[in-house]
Amino acid sequence: MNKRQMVKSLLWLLIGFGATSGFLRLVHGLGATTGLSDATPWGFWIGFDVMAGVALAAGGFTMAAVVYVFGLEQFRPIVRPAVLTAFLGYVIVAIGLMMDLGLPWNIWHPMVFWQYRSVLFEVGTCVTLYLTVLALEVAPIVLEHPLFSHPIFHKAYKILKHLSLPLVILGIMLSTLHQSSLGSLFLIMPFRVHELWYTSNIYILYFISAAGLGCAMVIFESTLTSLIYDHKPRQELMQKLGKIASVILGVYLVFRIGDLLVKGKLGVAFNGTGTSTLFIVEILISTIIPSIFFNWKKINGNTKGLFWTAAMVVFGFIMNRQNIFLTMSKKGPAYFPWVSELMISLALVAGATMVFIFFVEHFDLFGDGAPDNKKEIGEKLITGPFFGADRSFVKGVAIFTAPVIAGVGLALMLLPSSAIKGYQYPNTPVKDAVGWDTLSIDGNRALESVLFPHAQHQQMMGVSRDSCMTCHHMSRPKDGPTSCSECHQDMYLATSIFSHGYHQTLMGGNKSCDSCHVNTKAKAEVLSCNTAECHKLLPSDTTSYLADSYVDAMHKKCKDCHEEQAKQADGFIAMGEQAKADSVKALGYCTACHPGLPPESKVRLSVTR
Amino acid sequence: MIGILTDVTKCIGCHKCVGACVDANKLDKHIPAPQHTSDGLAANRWTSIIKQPDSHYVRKQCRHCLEPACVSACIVGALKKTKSGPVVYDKKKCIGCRYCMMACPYGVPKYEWDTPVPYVRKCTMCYERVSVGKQPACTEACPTGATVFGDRDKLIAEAKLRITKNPEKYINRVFGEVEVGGTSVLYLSDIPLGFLGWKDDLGKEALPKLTWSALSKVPTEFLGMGAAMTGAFWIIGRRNKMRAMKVKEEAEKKAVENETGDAGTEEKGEDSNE
Repeated sequence: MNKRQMVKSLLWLLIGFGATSGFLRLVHGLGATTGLSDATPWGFWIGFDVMAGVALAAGGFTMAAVVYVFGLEQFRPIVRPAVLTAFLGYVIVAIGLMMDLGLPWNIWHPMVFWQYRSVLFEVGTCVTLYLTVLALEVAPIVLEHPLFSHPIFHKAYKILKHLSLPLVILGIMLSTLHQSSLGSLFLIMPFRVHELWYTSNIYILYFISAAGLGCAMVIFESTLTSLIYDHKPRQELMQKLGKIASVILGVYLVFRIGDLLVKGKLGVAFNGTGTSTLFIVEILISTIIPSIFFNWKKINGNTKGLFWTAAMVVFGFIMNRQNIFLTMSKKGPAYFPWVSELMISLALVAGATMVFIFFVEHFDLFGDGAPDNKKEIGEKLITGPFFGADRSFVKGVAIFTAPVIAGVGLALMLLPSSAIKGYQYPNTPVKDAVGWDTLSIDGNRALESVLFPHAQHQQMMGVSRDSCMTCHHMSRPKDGPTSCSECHQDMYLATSIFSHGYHQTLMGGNKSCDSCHVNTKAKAEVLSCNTAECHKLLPSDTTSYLADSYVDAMHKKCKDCHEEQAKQADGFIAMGEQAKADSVKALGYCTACHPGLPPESKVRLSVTR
Repeated sequence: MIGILTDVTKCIGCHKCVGACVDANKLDKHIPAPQHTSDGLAANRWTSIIKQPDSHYVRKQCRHCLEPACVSACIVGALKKTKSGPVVYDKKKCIGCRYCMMACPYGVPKYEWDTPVPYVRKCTMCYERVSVGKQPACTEACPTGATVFGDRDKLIAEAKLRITKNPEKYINRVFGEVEVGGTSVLYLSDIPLGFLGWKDDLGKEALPKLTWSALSKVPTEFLGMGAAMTGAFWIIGRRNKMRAMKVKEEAEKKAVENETGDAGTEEKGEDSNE
C-alpha cells in the first residue's frame, strides 16, 4: 500500500463509521444519538460543521477576490483548489445542518416561508445562493474533462467562463453577508453568550476572521496536497499569502481587543478564571502567534513552518467558534459531544477530502484549463487512479470496501446503546430508602418527594404475584411504573361524591325514580341537581356534583382554622403556657396533617406570609 | 391583549396548574431524563412549579413576550405572536433548527428529543380555549387564585393595586411589565425572580431590536460590497493596463532589457493596494 492508498483507506474507514452514525441519527432521532438536550439545543454540529465549516471555506472567496478583483495574477494557480475547497466546505455545512435539523426534510421551507427578520433566514438564503454560485464556479473544472466533449458541454463551459467575474463578485457579496451574519446569530442571546465573546459588533469580527482564516486554510490545504502528491510546494506564494493573512489577523486583533477596551471588559480576560484562560489561549493561537510567525523569516521560510502556522490559525478559529458555545450560560446538565456527533462531522470532512482527492486525480485542479496541464489527469473516471490505477474498477472498490466495513463495525461497537437501539426512557428514579421499607419517591420530579411505605401497600393489595403487577407493570408504555395518582385519584382529580343509594332511600325507594330520571326510557338522562326543590346553589351544568380534589377540599376546609390556631401561640407564650403554645404552634406546620413529610418542609403555613 | 398574572405569595405549590395543563394539552405524563432541565419545563411540561426557599413556589411558563425573541429568530415564521397575545407555534412550518430555544431569554421552548420526528413544544396560553372565550386550563385550575387570567392592562392595574395595599409584602415591581419589552405573563413576588430567565435583570429593551440593528444594514452591506468589488476591479484593472502601456512605452524607448525588474515593482505596488 502506498501513501495515497493509506490515506484513502483511513478516509473510507471514517466514512463507514460516520455513515452508520448518520443513518442511526435519522432513524432514532436526536435524543438517542447525540448529547444535545434542552439545556444545550445547539452543539458540536452547529459549532463545528456549520460555524467553523463556513469560516474554513472562506478561502474560496478570499482567493477569488485576490486574483480576480485585486489582479494578483501570481495566485491564480491556487484559486481552483480554494474554490473547490469552499464548495466542498459548504456541502459539509449543508449536510451537517441536515443532520442537526430536527426535521431535515423541511430544509426547503425557508425558500417558501420568508421570515426576513430572522438572521438565520439571511444566513440560510445566502448559503444556499453561495452554494449555487460555487457550484457554477466549480463546473468549468468538471466540464474540462475529456468525458464532457459534447458541444453542449462546450457551450456551457464557454458561458460559465464568460460569467466568471460576475460570479466571483456575487460570491464575494454573498460571503460577506453570511460570514458576518453567522456572528449576528448571537446578537439575540446577550444574556447567554459570555461577555468576552459577545459584542454588538460581532458580525464585523466574524467577517474579518473569516477572511484571515480563508488565507490560512488555503496555505494549510495546498501544502497538505503537495505533501500527499509529492508536488513541489509553492513556497514563495504561500509565504506571501501568509503575510496577507497576518495583516488581516492583525486587523482582527485590533478590533477584538479594541472592542473589549471600549466596553471596559478587557479586565475580564485576565481575571484568572477558566474562561479567561480559554480566551487568552484562543487569542494567542488564532491570532497573535500566527501573525508573528507568518512574518518571521526563520519560520515562514520553510514549508513545515508555514504549514504548522496555518494549522494553528485553523485550529485557533475552530476553537473560537466553539468557545462561544462552551462558555455560554446554561441551565441543566453539561454538554459533551457524543462519539456519533464527532464521527458524523469527521466523516463529512473525510468525504469532502475524498472528493477533493478525486478532483486532484481526475481533473485539472491546479492549472487553468490550459492544454499543457492536462497530461497528468486520469481520464477514465471509473477505472482511473482514484480506485487504484492499474486495477479494474471491481478490484479497486473491493480494496476500499474493507475499511468501510471496518468503520461500520467500529461504529456499532463504540456508539452508545441508545444510538443503536433507539431512545431509552429512564425508569422512575427512586431515592434512597428511608428506614427499612419506606421509599422516598419524587413522582412528578418536581424535587418534592413523598414517603412510600412499600410493605404497607403490599399488605393492602394482598401478597400475591398479581398484586405486584398492579404497580410494577413492566409492559406499560415506556416501561413506566404505575403512577401513584392512578390509585390515589382523589389527590388531584375531581371526585364524584354523588351517592345514588343515599338519594334513593331519601326519596322513598324505587317509586321515586321519575323525580330525577324524567324520561324513563333513557335511563341516563337525569335532571340537574339544582332544578326543582333540590340543591339550588349548585352549578347547573353538573348532574352529580363534583367535589374539589382531596387536596383542595382539605386545604380549604382545614388550613384556615389551623392557621388561626397557630397564630395564638404568641398569646399563650405571653401567658406563660409554653406547652400549650407549642401544641398550637405545631398545628401551623404541614406536618400536622402530613406526618410523612420530610423535616425540611416543617415550615409554618401562616406566619411567613 | 390578554395575559396571566401569577402572584407568587399566593401559590401553595399544589401542582394543579401543571396537571390541568398536561390534561388540557394531552401531554405525555412521563418526563424523559434529557429533557429535564433545572426549571422543570420539558416538551411535555409546559408549566412547572419551581420550589424556592421559605415555602415559595414559583410557576414557570412561557412569558408570551410582546416582542418575542423566538418569533424574530424563527427562520420560517413557525412561531407567531397572535394579536390577542399568545405566542403560538405552527408545526407544519418548523424545520427543527432550534434557534428559538437559543434565543428565548427565559429558556422556555423545549424539544421532543426522544422521537425521530421532533417538534418544538411550549405553552400556548391555551390559545384554542382562549379564542373561544374560555380561560387557560392552568388559571382555571388554580385553587388559591395565585394565577389569574385577564386583560393585560387590567392585570397590571390589579397588580399595582395589590402592591399599594401591601407595600411591605411585595417587591415593588410588576415582573414582566417592561422586561425585555414587556411580557403578557406577569408576576408579583416577594422574592427576586431572576432564576426564571438567564439573568436577574434582563433589561427593558426587546431582544429582536439587537438583531435588527445588524440585520437592517444587510442590504447596504450587500450592495456596498458589490460596488466596492466592482470598483476595485475596475480601478486596479485600469491601473494595471496603464502600467502595462507605460512599461511598453518605456520598453520601446529604452532597450528591451528590464522587463523582469519592472514586473517585480509592479507586484509590490499591487500589494500595497490591499
